[in-house]
Amino acid sequence: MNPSRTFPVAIESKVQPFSLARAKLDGVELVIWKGSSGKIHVWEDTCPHRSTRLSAGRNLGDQLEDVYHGWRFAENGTLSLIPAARKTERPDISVRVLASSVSGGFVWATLNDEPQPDPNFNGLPLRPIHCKAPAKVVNARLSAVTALNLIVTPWSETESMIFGVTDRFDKAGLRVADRQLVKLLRNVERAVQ
Amino acid sequence: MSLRVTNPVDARDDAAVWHQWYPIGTAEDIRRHNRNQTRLLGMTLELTMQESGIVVHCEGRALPVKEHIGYIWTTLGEPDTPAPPLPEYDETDRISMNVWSTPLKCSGLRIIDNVVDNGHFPFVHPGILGDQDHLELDSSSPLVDEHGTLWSRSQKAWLPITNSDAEYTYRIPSPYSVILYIHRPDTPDRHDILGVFAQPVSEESFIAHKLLVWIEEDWMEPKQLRSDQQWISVQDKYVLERHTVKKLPLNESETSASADTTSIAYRQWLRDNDVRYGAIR
Repeated sequence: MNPSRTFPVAIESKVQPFSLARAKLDGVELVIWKGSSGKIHVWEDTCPHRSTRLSAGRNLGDQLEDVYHGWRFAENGTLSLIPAARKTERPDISVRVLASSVSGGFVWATLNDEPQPDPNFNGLPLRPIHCKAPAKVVNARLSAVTALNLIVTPWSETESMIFGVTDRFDKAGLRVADRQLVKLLRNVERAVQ
Repeated sequence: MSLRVTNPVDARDDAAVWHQWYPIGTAEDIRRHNRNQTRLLGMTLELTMQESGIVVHCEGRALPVKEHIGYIWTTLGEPDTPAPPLPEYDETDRISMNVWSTPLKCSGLRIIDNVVDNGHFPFVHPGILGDQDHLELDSSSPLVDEHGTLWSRSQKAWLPITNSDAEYTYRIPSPYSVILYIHRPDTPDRHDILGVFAQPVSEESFIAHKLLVWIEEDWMEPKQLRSDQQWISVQDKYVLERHTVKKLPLNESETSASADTTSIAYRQWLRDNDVRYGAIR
């Protein structure tokens, strides 16, 4: 069904200019940021210099700056500045850039080459729910809430993030959907304990 | 895909780490907190107070104990070399104090790599140890002396409060310790000294013991000195606990630049000494 293993990793509207968001996919820590170009980037959340979290740094708009030594990376992921060594040759390196795309109000990413977002996954995004159970376990219990359109993103071996959409564009509808999701979460977490 | 899982190392199999003295705190801290346990290299140490002093046991075995430069030191192995000598500690015109002993969540090797690195000053300690107008760093010329100690001498970095370059010399006598000499223009043969001694709790956690040994000046307030140094250490703790790889890679997985010569030399020195505990080979 999902051969490219493309999953939602963030709600598009939550990825704001000059800020940084975090996510995980299959155990890989991610930093998500919107550049001056308007494009949203999904990178592995680690600086190739000293392995610090890029999400602890700054989104400068056209570049992302690491917190530890101020190394900067351009929107395409390549190293653009080493503040302590401007005069010497820069190593030709890049952060790990994930294939990603924006569709249906979500940011989608894959650890493979081509992102293939689910075209049927659209509507009003629900609050994503973090679950301390692997995606396989959560998916097995999803049939209980047929009223919701859900995708379970494999966060890590032990966690998942449940993304959902609803076609009820009113507040009451959102609340109902949210409550159903939380109930699902409790059931799943109780089952894996 | 980057490999993040490495095999755990039993410290006993790492001679360069096992056969070393480690500080486990100051006598004052251990007494005041009635501490009866601490951890070292994955082992639990039992501490008991006796009239003769502090006694340390590990799995029923009594370990050697020494008081040295303000700390209680012990070892699980049979070290050839003593705990790092620091004769300046006892000089009468100096302020000597333990700045703090605090747990950190990464390999203790990471903090040594941090101390010898001036490139992070403008970013992690802005306005204190560096600033954005002085980012460029010279390469250093580290060398290993006849005792096997790694030295990196006279590394310069901009110091905002003096509006000039400060000069630092680094001495690494053992894998988990570093002594920093801050040069003083007025007394070229005498330095202000900081020691950072990591007590490795596990491969990915340690207790940082930070020692201050400064030549006393009229303006100095010991409490202020301590809180200034603690503030700098808090800033380092923030980045040290944000490594996605907790151990220190001794392979090529982290890219270095020309400003990282001392860090590169430290990693090479660890490889040459066959250090594996807390490291990635």
